[in-house]
Amino acid sequence: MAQPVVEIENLVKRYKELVALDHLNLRIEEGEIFGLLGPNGSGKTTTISCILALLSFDKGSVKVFGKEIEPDSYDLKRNIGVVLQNVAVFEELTVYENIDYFCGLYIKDKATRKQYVEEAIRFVGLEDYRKFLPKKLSGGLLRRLNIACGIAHKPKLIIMDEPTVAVDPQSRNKILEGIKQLNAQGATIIYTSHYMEEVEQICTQIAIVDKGRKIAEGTKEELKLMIKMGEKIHLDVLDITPEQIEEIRRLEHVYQVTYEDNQLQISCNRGKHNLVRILAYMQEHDIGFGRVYSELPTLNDVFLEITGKELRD
Amino acid sequence: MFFRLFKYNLLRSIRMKEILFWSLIFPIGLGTFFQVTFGHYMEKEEIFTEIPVAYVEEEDADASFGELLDTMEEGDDALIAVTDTSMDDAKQLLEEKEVSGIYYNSGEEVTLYVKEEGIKPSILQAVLQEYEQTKQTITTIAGVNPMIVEQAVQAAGQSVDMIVDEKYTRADMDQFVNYFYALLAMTSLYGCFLGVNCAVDIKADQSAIGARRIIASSSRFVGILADVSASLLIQFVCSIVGFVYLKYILGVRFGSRIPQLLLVLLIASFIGVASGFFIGSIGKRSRDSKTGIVVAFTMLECFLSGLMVGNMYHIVQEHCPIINKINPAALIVDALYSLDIYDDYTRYTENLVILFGIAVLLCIGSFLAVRRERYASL
Repeated sequence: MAQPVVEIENLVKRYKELVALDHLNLRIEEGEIFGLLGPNGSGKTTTISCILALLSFDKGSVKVFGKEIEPDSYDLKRNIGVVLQNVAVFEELTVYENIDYFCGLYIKDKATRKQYVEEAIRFVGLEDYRKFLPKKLSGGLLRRLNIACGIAHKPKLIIMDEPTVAVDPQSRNKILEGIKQLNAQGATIIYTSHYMEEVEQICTQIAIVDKGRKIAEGTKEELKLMIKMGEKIHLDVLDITPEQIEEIRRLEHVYQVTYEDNQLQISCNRGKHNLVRILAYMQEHDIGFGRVYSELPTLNDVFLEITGKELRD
Repeated sequence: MFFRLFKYNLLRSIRMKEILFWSLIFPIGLGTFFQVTFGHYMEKEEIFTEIPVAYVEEEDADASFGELLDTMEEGDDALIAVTDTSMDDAKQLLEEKEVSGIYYNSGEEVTLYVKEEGIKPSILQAVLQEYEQTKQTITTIAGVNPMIVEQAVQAAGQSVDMIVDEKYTRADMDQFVNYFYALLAMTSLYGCFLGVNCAVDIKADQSAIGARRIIASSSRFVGILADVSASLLIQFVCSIVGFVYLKYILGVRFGSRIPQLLLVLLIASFIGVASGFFIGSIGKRSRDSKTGIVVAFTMLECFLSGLMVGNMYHIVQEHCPIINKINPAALIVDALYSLDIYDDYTRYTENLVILFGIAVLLCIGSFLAVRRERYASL
């Protein structure tokens, strides 16, 4: 079995009374784009901080490239790139200078560094902004600069903590394409995000954490199989009585029905002919309906079903 | 690695408008304000440095005292301005405050008449005492060994010159220069802004940049050293520019020992950066909060050293002298003051050693605070 890039075993981290990580286990293999999902306060950033040897922890072990990582593990850190949730660039340095500064923390050779910086600028599409100060950049460009600063030194492991927060769709697409490109070039990527569609789009392996524990892990297909929902049927209905809604809820495989803004939403377990059965009921009871469509479960459904729908901080 | 980080820190500091404002523009503005406010007083003091005195000499009196006064009246840096006159006219001049005193040479002795106490009458008294002591010494030598009288007279002449010079230096000091010393102290201590940035930018629990730097594969110590060195250089240059402006544009008299004065500014800049670095290193308050704290500390230090109230240094010295021994601004002011006042460097050196010692202690404390391997929370 190949050696994992990151291996976390029984990791426990407490903030006084609060257990932030509760015997967390993760294994991230080389070449994966590993999605780390969880509600706010679930322990994602704490996990990343432990992987980076920033945080002390109470129990367990964190190995990167097969070695326990310590604050002075410079040989390991050389191969790690980080794109932090908060943009971490110097306001007083230009785009080029920022990338050169952070790349220079890893690459000492001037010629190599210059080449890497140029490649990073091209990679994030900031060729026309080399001499711009960060305050002159839009939110999307700033995020791209943040990414360039994290990956310019060509790390083998890239950790991205919500890199697309508050960026426009074009920039987001550029960033996601870039992540896939980095992965294709051989980098292993750990990716956290609140945007389920992003994770669904790029991640090859996904772990869902909540309250410091890993509660599910697998590919997106495997995760979807873990939940009750098989499909979600939507009908535009102008008029339906509460009794009829209740009758629909009692149909075979149906476990949840909601009616809001003239839209009937029916969640069904895995089973055959769910749509046919529902349409037959509608005709039988002479209930008029307009547009009808059926959705397979999304990662968002998986996430909500696994972590619950109550609001988090 | 060091020089690249050093270069980038320099670039960043130069581009920080707030740093340039506090370390350069503000002190220059305040210095200009001081000059506008105190300038005419300082000029007035300068006119009075030549102490007007009337000299009345009887016909058969010893001329040596009159010759001494003539000597002291010569040159650009004359201590006194003598008016040879009669006793009645001299009294009139004294009454009208045209002169600060009257030397009356009766032939048997020289007597000083003054109307009121003060620095100028005291200096006139000191001149007379020195003359009489010297005269007495030479008379004694003549009685014991007449062969060396001539040598004694020459030595006495040199002695008088030396004492006169020293008195002149003291007289030249005025309380207004203290304001400018305190201003230079404040300028250098504003290195604290740069020091706070050095600390916050290397702490993962203070800034995202700190986190990004700490997780990199480079030595934290080298990064700190580069940042602090660059900050020190920037602050030192700002202090020099401020000094040049005060001395050569505004014409403030800082004495002639420029290299020694620049050394004070260098160490003062060091302690400024070190203070900011220390306060930036401890606790988890925001960058702005820490900047506010260092500004408050610096202003308090400068207030106690006399930036706002000219004689505050002496008030503190009278009531709680230990504060002047540990207050960086007071030590800087005293180092600059002692350069002008004393011929030897004892007090100057003592001040610099204490300043340097405090700065080193602050640096050690800061380094212990930021060297933390892992954080308990971020």
